[in-house]
Amino acid sequence: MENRPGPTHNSPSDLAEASERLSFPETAQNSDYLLNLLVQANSLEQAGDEDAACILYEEIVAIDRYSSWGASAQKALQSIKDRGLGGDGDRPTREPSTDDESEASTLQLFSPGADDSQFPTGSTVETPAGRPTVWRQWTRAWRQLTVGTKLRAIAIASALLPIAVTGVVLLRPEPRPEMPNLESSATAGTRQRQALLWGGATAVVTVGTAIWVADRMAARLRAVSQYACALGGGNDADGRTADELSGLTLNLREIAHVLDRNREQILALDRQREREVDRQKREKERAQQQAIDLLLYIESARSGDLTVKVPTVEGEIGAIADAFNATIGSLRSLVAQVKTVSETVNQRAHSSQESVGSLADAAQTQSIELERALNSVVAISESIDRVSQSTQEAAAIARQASQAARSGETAMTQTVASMDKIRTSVANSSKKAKRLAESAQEVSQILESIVGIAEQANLLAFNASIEAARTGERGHGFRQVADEVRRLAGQVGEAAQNIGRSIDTIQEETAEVLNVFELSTSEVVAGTQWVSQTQQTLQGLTWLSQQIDGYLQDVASNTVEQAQASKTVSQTVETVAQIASTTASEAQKAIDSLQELTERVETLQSSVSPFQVK
Amino acid sequence: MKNVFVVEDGQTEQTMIKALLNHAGFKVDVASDADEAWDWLQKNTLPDLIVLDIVMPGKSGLELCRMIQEDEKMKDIPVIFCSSKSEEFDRFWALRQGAKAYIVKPYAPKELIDTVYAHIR
Repeated sequence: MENRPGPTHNSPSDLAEASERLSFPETAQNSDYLLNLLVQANSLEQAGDEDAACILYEEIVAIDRYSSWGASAQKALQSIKDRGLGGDGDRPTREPSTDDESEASTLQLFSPGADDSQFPTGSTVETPAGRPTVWRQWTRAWRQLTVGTKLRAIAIASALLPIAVTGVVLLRPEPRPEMPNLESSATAGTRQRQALLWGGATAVVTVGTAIWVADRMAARLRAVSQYACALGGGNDADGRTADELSGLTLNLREIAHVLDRNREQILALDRQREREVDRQKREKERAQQQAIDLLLYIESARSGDLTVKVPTVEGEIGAIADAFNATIGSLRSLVAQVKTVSETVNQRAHSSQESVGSLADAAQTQSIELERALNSVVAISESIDRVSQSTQEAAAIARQASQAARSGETAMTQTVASMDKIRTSVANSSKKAKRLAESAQEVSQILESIVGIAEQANLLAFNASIEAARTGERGHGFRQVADEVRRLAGQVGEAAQNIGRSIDTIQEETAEVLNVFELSTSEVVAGTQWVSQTQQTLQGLTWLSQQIDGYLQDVASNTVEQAQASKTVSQTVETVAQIASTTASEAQKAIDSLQELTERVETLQSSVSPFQVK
Repeated sequence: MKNVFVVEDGQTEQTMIKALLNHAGFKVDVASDADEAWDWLQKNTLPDLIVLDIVMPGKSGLELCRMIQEDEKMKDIPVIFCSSKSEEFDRFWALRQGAKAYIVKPYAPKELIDTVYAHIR
């Protein structure tokens, strides 16, 4: 893929332009335009036309690199660039540092000391061998010499070393122990030949070394020249110049131009870096302040204020603050729950204690009442037994009553018959008495006639006596007879009066008898009615006695059932009394437990009371 | 059409996310803070994905994410954080809250859309 250098990113003029734009307010029109561009660029990128997308992204960056749009566009350009690198280099996509690394490696390739990397470097001094040899010290010293010194040293060495070796061989007093191999080969030759040989060999070695060093230096010079050429804009200076040094000079001038151009950029970058350093410093201070704030919040949470909420901020402290908030949140709801629950439990326990207390009292009372009830039930049972007996007795009496009523009824029937006879007899007697009374009446009337006749006879006799008296003696006998008649008439009158009195007595008594008979008759009639009513009553009584007998039979059988039921009831009541007794003791235990619970809940409440949750 | 619900307090960011996702073919609803978002979630058809900012006034996106994760009906909705908190630490913590992905602002539009595509249910 194309690796875009992105001149718009780095050129100082753009930076200046962008920083000017920083002060512009982000107008809605501008935003719409940038948004439109961004969306278009993204569609192109999604469609695979990354070149066109890059152009649009770059335009967004050029218009406003510090807005959200510009930032996004820059990010998009960076990622397209990364993907491009990834495709060319056939390595996984990495962070932008890949670009820096490739640049760094290029720099290292062309750096003046690059070849030295093949020599052991200072960093390898501490190899496991661990012995800084004389050779390494020498090479390090050599590497630190300037190029002029090195050239001078090589020239001096090429001139002096053969002469010195020849001189040493010629002036040597005896074979030297340091060169045993030469000594062994020199035993047969003369010292002059040895000197020539050594001098020549040394000269060859020295010249060879000098040529090798010169070649290396020339190669480095070429490399530097090429690098300078590359740095200076890629114009091939070698084609226009005589040698490497001239080319290098030209290229260095180019570089100087480039450096001039880049100085401002570097200065800008330095400013940016300073800003970055400032930002980092502020960031650090902010982080410290946030950490202190967080600690203060934690401190107040520790002392019981669970209502604290640390404001959310960016960075590690922010994440820790968020975790702290979440933890305190959970703890807050937990403690709130504990508070609520313990308060409720405490209230409930108190009320339960009262309830259970009254329950215990009630159970106690119930137990006593049940004892009484049990006694009552026993009494009822006994009463039922007695009722049963009485009922049976009553039934027997009722049966007797029924029988008595029946026999009474029979007797009454006979009585009614007798009464009828009496009534008939009385009626007959009454009639006879009436006739007697009438006869007496008739006799009385006859007597009155007799009395009349006697009075007339008396009067006549009296008159006759008077008449006789007048006639004297010859009427005497008549007067006597008249006197006799008169006395007889008197006697008849007296007898008639006596009879009259007797008849009156008879009449009075007859009237009394009649009255008595009338009374008797009406009494007999009334008696008959009473007897008849009594008979009916006795019939009703019989019926009632039979009913009573039936009811009593029912009652008797019911009382048997009642007796059984009351036995069951008494057993049940006994069981209930036991249960009530158990309930009372259990309630007491519950009261004790509740008391303990209340104490514990109060402890819990005092433990959580320092925590504020509202 | 898939629904994406965006909770973001920045007006510009909100507009940008909405435009990008609309253009990518999603129906987008937005809320400006966590409480508004929670109300919206109670009253409307549940979305297929939720994009959350972290730092917002009132409740943070992290809190809202935890509320969503604890809700029986909402816990299966994938959540993506989209925040300027760029440190690895923040990413770690945000993902620990049950989010599926974490995008750092500023983001490349493609990154946002690819991430939404990758996680939408």
